[in-house]
Amino acid sequence: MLSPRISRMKERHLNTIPCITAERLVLQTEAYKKFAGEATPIFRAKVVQYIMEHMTTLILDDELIVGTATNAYRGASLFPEFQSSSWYISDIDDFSTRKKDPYYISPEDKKIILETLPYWEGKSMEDLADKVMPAHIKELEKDDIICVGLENGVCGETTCNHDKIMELGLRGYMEECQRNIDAHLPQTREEQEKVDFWNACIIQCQGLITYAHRMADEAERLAGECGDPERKKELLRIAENCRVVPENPPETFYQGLQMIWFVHLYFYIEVCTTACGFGRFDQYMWPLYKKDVIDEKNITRQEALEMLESFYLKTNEVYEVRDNWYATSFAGYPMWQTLMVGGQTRDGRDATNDLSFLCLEAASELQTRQPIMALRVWEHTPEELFRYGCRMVQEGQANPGFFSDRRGIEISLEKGGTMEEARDWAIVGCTQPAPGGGGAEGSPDAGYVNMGKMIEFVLHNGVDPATGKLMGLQTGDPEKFQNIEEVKDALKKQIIHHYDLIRQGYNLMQSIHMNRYPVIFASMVTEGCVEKGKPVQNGGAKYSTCGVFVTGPANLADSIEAIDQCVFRDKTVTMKELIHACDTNFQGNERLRQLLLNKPAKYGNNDAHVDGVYREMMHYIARTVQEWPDARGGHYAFGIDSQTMNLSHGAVTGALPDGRLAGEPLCDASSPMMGRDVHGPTATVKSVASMVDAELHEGALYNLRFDPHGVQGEKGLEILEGVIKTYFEDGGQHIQINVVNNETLKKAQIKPEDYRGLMVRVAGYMAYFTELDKSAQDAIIYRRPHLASAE
Amino acid sequence: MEALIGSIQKFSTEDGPGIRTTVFLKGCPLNCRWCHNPELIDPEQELIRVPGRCIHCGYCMKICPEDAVFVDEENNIDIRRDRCTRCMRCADECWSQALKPVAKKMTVREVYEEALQDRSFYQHTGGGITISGGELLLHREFVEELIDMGEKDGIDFCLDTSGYGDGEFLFRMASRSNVSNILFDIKAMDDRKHQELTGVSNEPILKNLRRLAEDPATRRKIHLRMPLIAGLNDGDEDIQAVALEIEKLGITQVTILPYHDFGISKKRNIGGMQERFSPPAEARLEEIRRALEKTGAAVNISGTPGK
Repeated sequence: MLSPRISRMKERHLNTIPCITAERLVLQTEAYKKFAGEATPIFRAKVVQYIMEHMTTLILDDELIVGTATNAYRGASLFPEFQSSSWYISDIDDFSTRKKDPYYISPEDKKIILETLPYWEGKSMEDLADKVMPAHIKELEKDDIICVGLENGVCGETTCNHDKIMELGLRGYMEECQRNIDAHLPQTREEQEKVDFWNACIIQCQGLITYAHRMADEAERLAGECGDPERKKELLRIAENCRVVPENPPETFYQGLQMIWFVHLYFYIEVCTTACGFGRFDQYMWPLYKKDVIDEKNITRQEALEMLESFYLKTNEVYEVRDNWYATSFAGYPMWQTLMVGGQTRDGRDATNDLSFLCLEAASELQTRQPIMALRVWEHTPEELFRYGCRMVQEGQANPGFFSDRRGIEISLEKGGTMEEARDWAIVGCTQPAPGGGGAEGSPDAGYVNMGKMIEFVLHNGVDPATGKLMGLQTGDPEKFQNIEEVKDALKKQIIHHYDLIRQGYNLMQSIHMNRYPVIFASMVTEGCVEKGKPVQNGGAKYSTCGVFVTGPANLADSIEAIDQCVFRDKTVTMKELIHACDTNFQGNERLRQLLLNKPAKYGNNDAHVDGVYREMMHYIARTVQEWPDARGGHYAFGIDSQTMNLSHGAVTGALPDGRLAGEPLCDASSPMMGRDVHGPTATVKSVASMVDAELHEGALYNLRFDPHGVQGEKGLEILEGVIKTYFEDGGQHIQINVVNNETLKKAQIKPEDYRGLMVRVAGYMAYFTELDKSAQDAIIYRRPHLASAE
Repeated sequence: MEALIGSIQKFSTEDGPGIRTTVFLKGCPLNCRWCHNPELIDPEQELIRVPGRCIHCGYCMKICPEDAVFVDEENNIDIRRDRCTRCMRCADECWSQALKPVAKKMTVREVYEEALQDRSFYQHTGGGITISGGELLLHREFVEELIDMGEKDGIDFCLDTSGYGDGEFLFRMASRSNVSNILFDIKAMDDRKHQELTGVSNEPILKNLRRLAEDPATRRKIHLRMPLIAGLNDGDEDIQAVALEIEKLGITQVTILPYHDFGISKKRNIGGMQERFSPPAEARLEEIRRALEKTGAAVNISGTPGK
């Protein structure tokens, strides 16, 4: 049961529409003018420090943990150094009315924004990217054939070294940087860059400490005005906390929460970042929890729970404003703030503790979009913890996601981690495992390749049938292919060619980020950067990878299988006829489409042949691209994840040999194509597991939906547990389960006001179903729910 | 050894413990008026239509040598059963699978291997294979071979039977160490009623049930299942008679299967007619459940959360 305080706060959260405010933009513009001329890292640090010195200190009623990203609750800022002011201006009236991830803007803020933005004209990363990106890559992006990251976002997905933060406080980092500065008299450009970076770190620490002290002042001011003695006490305690953290190590569990929130909040104020994970929260918070709740009994478990829930609510207050395309491809205001529990310790013992349970309990009571709960599962995970997570899922909470410890460890070793770091693995990004210790930097979303278009290109010798233009590689006359191996070879060449274009584009973007957009604070708390004197953009992190992903892998495998069966093995149709049928969207040839749908095996039904095709293609991509270095000395890492880009990539893709009609969504992440998994969830789980292994460095995101009738009662719980355990035993890496029926989802579409709290797991993140645009909602309804037997 | 297999259903969760694979054999000596799987009564291959899948391409009509395929007044594909020789040439041409054979001929090995794909799910949930139908007692050799095969791998079996057939065989199979549950259907205790509802006498059925109950080792495996159809077999007398039998035999597990109408369309699609019934009202189901529980047995209603 939520406490009255938390209930009120949750209600406020659900009743507030996210908004865009002008404050940070104005402060940033002032600071840009004031500090121009400084060395880049110092300049950027001073701008952020200036913002922290002047931004509104906002403390809301009932709050126990404080700190907001803007001067408004659920507010978002604009970042015109990254994103182009041109679409900010052109879209400004559209933000509040657009269907995808809308934001309210008050008339006053709008006026200020429009007055301020002209200064930024042509100055953003996005404007620059538009100038320097090769025309061919831009065209492929415009047509939704590939996409390249970093054009208007930040390089860096931060899962920082929380242990060190808790141990040293920012004071410790500042001292370390100062020691480094004192020990270096720069004699080279590289050395000077290091000193600049360390100085920038110190400046940014000061910025956050100043902000915390200003919050303390504000809390004391409010306490002075407060008539309610209870709240007055709380406010004074908040003030006390803000004078200790983040400058010093936290002394209590409560301060620990405030510490972590300040640090994470700062990531979002510094730059328009996402996917900053809370890492192994139940581990680094455990010593303080144990001291306060168990050993010294300074607070009760119930009090700790309320503090934790207050902290969770905070994580729902950060946003990244995105353009229309991005809001479609990543629908539902995702921020991918993963909070992990369970798993094993660095020396290989089970790591579960009472806080692991409390973390799940808080998520279960609160049921908000964030944080995203991640439960690490291994052979010694206590049955009660696993069952707790399964029960949450059974109740339809779509949280936590389950992660195989075995795969997490294997992938972390593949990424170069030591055995201890591997056991301590953490999610960097949305579902991707990386070595623990806070030194892994997984630059997000280097790009996605649309597999649907790759098939189209191969079937038209490089020409895009949608436009008639030669867009891809000329892989040969498709009518001359003699067997399926030749088709697969052509596809492999075509696909790799496009990943290579992503690499070219992405390395170019990375190089620009290195010189212009070093992220200082997030780098400082990432292991390796202070030591090397380099931000993560320049390869400062101990382990650097860039994730590349794929949309439509099931459509690829199913199409290959369909061509193999119908053109080469059965010879029911010629390649020419098949291509013509696809080009005409099967108009007048529904019979052929039915053959393609029903005769060839489809991925997701535990068919060894087509599952093997899927595996072969995905592993070919992984092996090839993972050899490639990125611009900063890291390497590319491949994984299967589509976010909601299967909608935008599907919209531009014509009919395919797997029987999918033109414009329909492509498959979701590593799931089978919607509606093609006709042998129940066990067969699907087997198929998906059969293609995952440690060679996919970014893993494979798997969404499974059950109808509630299929998994009710104690037996239903056992079934869910059995499904997850089998998936992991067979090699699966990640699974997220939605238990909700179509009627509920359809009712929520008709009467959204009654279903504001209904959450669904979209793609490694959670969204309120009713906040999704209709097409994204339909795609979730379309994911096949699995019923229990009813022959 | 081969048999006609109606389907192999994975993720079967209502036919015994854990996650199971249910194998539906074709052919049944009973002809229950409400049969859920009427397409599995005839032991021979049949042609079934799925009108919703038809795209009206007309290929079936062109290929049929007997001119048995036609389109009815509601524009649905249909078969003149008196002319159809079940040659299945229409089904071969039907790419949308609107016309298809009811069953597939499979060897024991093929069935076993397909089921075994889900072995790890069995292990994690205490599941296994359930043999159902149709009536498994019409396929004794096939059933025994399948159980033999599973015994070597430690695979658990549930047998779902009407109880009508070779009682010695049933007892022998029920005694096997890797057979954990006999899902034994009881439709009515009154023989006249039973004949009226199912077309056969319940005498051999009750004899076989009592035979299983005599031996404690097989008795504890009996899981009585009772389809309940409002007005047909849900009266107080019907229930009292069943309760008495349960008590007398010392049966400990009972599941009530409330009527559902899935059989009607399937019956129509193989060229027959089935009456529409209704399940007992929820309150009545609950009454019956409580009445049966008085025997000391654990009683579940299928489709509701239970153990």
